[in-house]
Amino acid sequence: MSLLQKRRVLESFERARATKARKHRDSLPTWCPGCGHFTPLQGLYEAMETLKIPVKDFVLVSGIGCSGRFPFFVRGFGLHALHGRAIPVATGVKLANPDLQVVVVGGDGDGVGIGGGHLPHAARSNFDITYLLLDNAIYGLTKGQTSPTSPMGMVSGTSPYGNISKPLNASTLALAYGATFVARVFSQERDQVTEMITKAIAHKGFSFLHVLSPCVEFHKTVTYESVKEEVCLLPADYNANDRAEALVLAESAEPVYTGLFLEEKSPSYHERVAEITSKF
Amino acid sequence: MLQAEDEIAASGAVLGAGFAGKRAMTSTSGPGLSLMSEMINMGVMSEIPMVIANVQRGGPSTGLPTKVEQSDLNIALYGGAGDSPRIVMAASSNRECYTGIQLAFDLAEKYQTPVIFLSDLFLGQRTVINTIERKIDRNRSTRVVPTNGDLRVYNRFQDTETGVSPWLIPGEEGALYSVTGLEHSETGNPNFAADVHLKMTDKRFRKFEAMKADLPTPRVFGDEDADIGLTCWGSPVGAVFEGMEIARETGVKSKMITSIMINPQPEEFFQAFFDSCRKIIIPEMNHQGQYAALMKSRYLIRPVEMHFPGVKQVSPRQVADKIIEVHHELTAEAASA
Repeated sequence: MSLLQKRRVLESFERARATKARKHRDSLPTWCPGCGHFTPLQGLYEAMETLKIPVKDFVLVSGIGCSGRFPFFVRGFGLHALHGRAIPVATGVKLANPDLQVVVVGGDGDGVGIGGGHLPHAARSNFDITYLLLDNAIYGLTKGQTSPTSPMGMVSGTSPYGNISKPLNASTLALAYGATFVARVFSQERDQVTEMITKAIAHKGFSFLHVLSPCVEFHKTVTYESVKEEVCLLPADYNANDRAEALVLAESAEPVYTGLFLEEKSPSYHERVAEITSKF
Repeated sequence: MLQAEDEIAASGAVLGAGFAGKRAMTSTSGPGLSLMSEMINMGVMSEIPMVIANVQRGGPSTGLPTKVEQSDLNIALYGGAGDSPRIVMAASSNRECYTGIQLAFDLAEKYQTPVIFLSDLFLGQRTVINTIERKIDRNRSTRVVPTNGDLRVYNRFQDTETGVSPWLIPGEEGALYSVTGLEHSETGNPNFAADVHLKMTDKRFRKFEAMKADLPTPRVFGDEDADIGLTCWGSPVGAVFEGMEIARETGVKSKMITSIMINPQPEEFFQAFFDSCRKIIIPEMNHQGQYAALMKSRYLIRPVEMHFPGVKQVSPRQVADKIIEVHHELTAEAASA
C-alpha cells in the first residue's frame, strides 16, 4: 500500500469512528485498519448528505459478516439481520413503509453464498432498495475461509490444496437477474464509490452496487495492489442501457471493468402495488 | 400480499414489516416452520412482532402434506436456538381461527414478540358457516408508544417493570436506533457482557408474565362435579366434547378445560381445574404426547395420556371409551380402598 493509500484509509477510519461515536458510545468499529469497507461507509455518509435523506427515514439493513456491523456506524435506523437474509427483511421494511429509504449492505458470503437465493427475486421484482455488496472474496469475520467469490487456487483453511470451484461474479449475476441498476466500483477509489452510491440510492428500483473491497488482514492474493492491477474504467463512450453488452463487459476478467454497467427506468414493486390498489 | 421465494424470505419480510411498525403475518405448514425458525428467533431477540400461522400436517420432514396431525407443538414452543420464548396459540375451531388471529396480532404488537398460531389440516380444509359478530378495527394498535419523557434518552430496549419497552417506529421523530440478532444492551447495540445477557434474557421472559393479564379465560365444559377431567388443544376439541356427551349418556360424567393459549397459559384456571379432578385424560394427535408433556411439567400432574399419530382424527368413540375405562378404574380403586 502506498503512503497516500494508507493515509486515505486511516482518514476514513477516523471519520467513521467520529461519526459513529456521535450515535453510539458502547459499540466501536470492529473492522481492521485499512479494511476496504471504510470507503463505502464514508461514501454512504456523503451520499446521505448529498441526497439530503432525513436520518429518521433512513433504514440500513445488513446481514452477518464484517459488513454486517454497518448499521451501528451510521446515523439512521439499523436492522442487523440474519446471515444472508438482509434482502427479504429489507423488502418487508420497504413495502411496509415506502417512504423509508432502505439500503442493504452485505458481503459476498452473505449475498451470493448463503443468501444467493434472494438476490434474483429482489432484482426481478424491482423492489426500491439499494444493495451494496462488499466483495472481499473471503470470509473475513471468521478469519479467512474460501468464499463463493474467491479465485480458483486460493489456499485457505477450507481449501488447503487450493480452491477448486469457480468464483461467482456478482455483477454478472445481478445483470442476469434483471436488476435495473448495476455498477461495480473499487473501494480504493473514494470518489467513484461515493458517486456510485449516490446514484444507486437515487435510482428508483432495485440498485445493485458491487464494491471490490479487499480484506487487508486475511486475503493474501486479492489485495489493493492486485485489484488495482486488474481494474479499468468502462470505456468513456459506453452507454449503460444495453443489458447484453453490459453482461459481456461485467463478465470480462482482463480487465475487470468498474463503473455503471446498466441503468434502466422501470416502475418499482411498490409503485406497481400502488397502481393495483388505486383501482379499488 | 407478497409472494416470497421461500419460507425464509416470507418470514424475513414479515420481520422487516414488523420492524417498520406494520402488522404482518405469513403462513406455512410443517417443514416451512423449520425454515422460519431462525427468523422467529431473530424476532424474539430483536423484539419485533411477527405472526406466523402453521397449518399442521403429518411429519417429520415433508411428511404427510395432505393429512392431519398435531405434532408441531414442540417446534412451535421450543424450535430455535437459545432461550427463546414465544407466544404459541392454537385454534380449536374455524371461529377461533378468525377471532384468535386478531388476538395474536394484538399480543404480538403489544409485547413485541413473535406469535406462532397453530391450526391443522382438519380446520384448514373445513368449510363452516359462522356468523361473525365482531367488526374488525383495521387501524387498531396495541403498541406501547414512547412518551416525550422516554424520548429524552431513548433506549429501544429499555428495561421496564413489564419488560415491554416503549417502541419508536422508523420514520418517527425523536430518536434513532439499531436492532440486532446479537445480544444487546438496552440501547440496542451489541453487548456480550454476562450481566447484560442476564438482564436482557430476564426482560424477554418477563414480558410473558405481564402478558398473563391479557389472556382470555379458558373454556370449561361438562359437569363441574365430575372426577374425570380432560384437557386438549386444537381441532380434537370438538371430537372430545362429543366423546364426553357419549360417555355421559352411559352415566359417566366428565369435564374439559381448553384454551387457545398454549404459551403463556392462564395457569391459575388450569391449576384449579386439575386440582378438582381425580383423573386427567389428555387426548391428542401425535406420537409423543407433546401437549401432555407440557401439561405434566407445567402443572405437575400425572395424566392418562391418549396420543397417537395423525391421519385419522381423534374420534368421539375413542374418547368416550377412554372416559368410561378411567371411570371403571376409579370405581374399582374406590371399592378396594
